[in-house]
Amino acid sequence: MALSLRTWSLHGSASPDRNSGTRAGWWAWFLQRLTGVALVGYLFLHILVISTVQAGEDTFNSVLIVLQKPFFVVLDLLLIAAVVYHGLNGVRVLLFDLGIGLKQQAGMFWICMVLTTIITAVAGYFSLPLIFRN
Amino acid sequence: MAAPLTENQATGVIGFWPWFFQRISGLLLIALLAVHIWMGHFSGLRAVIEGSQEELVLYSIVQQRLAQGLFVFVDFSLLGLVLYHGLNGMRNILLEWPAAARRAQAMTLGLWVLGAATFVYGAWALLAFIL
Amino acid sequence: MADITLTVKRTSTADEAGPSWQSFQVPEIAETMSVLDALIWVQQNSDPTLAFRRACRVKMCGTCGVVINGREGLACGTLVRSLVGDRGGEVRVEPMRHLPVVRDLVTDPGVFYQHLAGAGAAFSPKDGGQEPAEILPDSKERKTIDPHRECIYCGLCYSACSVAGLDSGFLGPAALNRAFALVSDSRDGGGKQRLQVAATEQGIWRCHTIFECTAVCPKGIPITAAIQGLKRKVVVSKLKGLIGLDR
Ligand code: HEM
Ligand code: SF4
Ligand code: FES
Repeated sequence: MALSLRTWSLHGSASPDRNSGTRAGWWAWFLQRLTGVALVGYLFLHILVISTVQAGEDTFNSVLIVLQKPFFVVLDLLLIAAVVYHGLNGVRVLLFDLGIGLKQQAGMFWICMVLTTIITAVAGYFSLPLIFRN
Repeated sequence: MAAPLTENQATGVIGFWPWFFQRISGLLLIALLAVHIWMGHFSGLRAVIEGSQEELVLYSIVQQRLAQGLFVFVDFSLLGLVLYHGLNGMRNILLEWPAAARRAQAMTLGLWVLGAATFVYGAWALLAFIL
Repeated sequence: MADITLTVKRTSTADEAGPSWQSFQVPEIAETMSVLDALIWVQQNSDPTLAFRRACRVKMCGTCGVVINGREGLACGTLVRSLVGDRGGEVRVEPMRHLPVVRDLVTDPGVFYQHLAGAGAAFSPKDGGQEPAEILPDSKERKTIDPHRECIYCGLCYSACSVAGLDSGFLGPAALNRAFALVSDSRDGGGKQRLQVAATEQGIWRCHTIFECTAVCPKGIPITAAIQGLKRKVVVSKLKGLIGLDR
């Protein structure tokens, strides 16, 4: 019974006489975990990429040129979304640890989602020249 | 009071301090990451908006940024903190898996070694921009 | 009122094949028909071998916890009407999660009770049981502890908790809520020791504030708030200890 996959089951309906809500807290946690693990993976890649500088300026530049191709710029935007969500929800969790906002937890999750979307969209807008470059 | 019968009893590993420092490091990361991402990608924003920055970000630009005093400080603390926070988070996740929890001490040691080695490697890479 | 389809996840003791879903047509006999009423109707009219547990039928005993349409709830406290519309519909019922299934909807609450005992659920009077000890109705302490004393030990929070699902060692929401209720009660003498148990590796630090326990508790207990309350108490005492203020 160690790892119960049923934990992850998503089906379910909110009903009026049960205060079950939208499962916002579950999604907040799941996304925190998902983005956390993804960011750790990215961290190691990032260090690896930067370290190519030790092989010389030319090697470093050829790597940077590839990483600024549109495909990778779009990946960068996903990265921004992950960092921003994880950071915002991290603050949400920190507030809970101070005893703040426990009753508003679902609303706070939606605030995190909206802010993540807005910030990613702004970053995306400024990245347009890099994505549609010829 | 009787102790609960549990699968990974007596692992003695998910303690207060890892929990506490996960929060402290997370808080510090907000400030450091903000500087890091802003300086790395958006400090040239004005140029982008005015359409004057045609070129890609290459060695010379990165080098200029990374050698600044503030950036040197930010990047070295960021490297250490993000490794601690990330690997401590991974440890927390892995410990919810009983097979890993049974080898908790070895796993913790392994993660510290991995973190230290990565720090040294990352610092070595960063030094190329400063020296 | 139309018929409803009651689909039950059945597990038999003899059957090696594992659980299977079985559907029953049930007439909606009243607007106030509960999921438990539907289960009883099936047992009396279609299949007497259907196994489930119940006692009070009025949300008091905490015996009839199941998972209804993917969500934890008391069978007696969940109206069929809240799940289906005028033209009927399907209600899916399965046993609680993270506990071994004995048969059909009957689960073995052993682990759940062990964790309650492990967290020191029993009240231990401070002054050797000298009565009367009282906490006035309008006192701050009374307002703090009262909601957390409402627990009927149904186990629904334990079933809804993802951390409990990943690791059966986790003390779980109900046990920690109970610890909080006692720690906050001036009549209880367990104090420091209770906090120590709650703060072991199987206790509060494992809670990731997922809030599923609070969402399903039929008594509306702010369980997550209790766990966070314990965390704050321990953090304060640890930090005090660090700078030598604990004595
Ligand atoms: C932006 C600043 C950040 C803040 C405020 C922050 C905050 C937090 C907090 C409060 C937790 C604990 C969540 C819980 O107990 O449920 C956490 C978990 C975690 N964080 Fe961060 N974090 C930040 C950045 C990062 C970065 C850059 C990484 C990747 C290297 C990362 C990786 C992780 C991992 C792997 C976990 C474990 C997730 C889990 O236990 O479910 N975090 N973070
Ligand atoms: S805390 Fe609520 S959900 Fe958990 S056992 Fe008690 S009454 Fe049931
Ligand atoms: S039968 Fe007692 S709570 Fe449902």
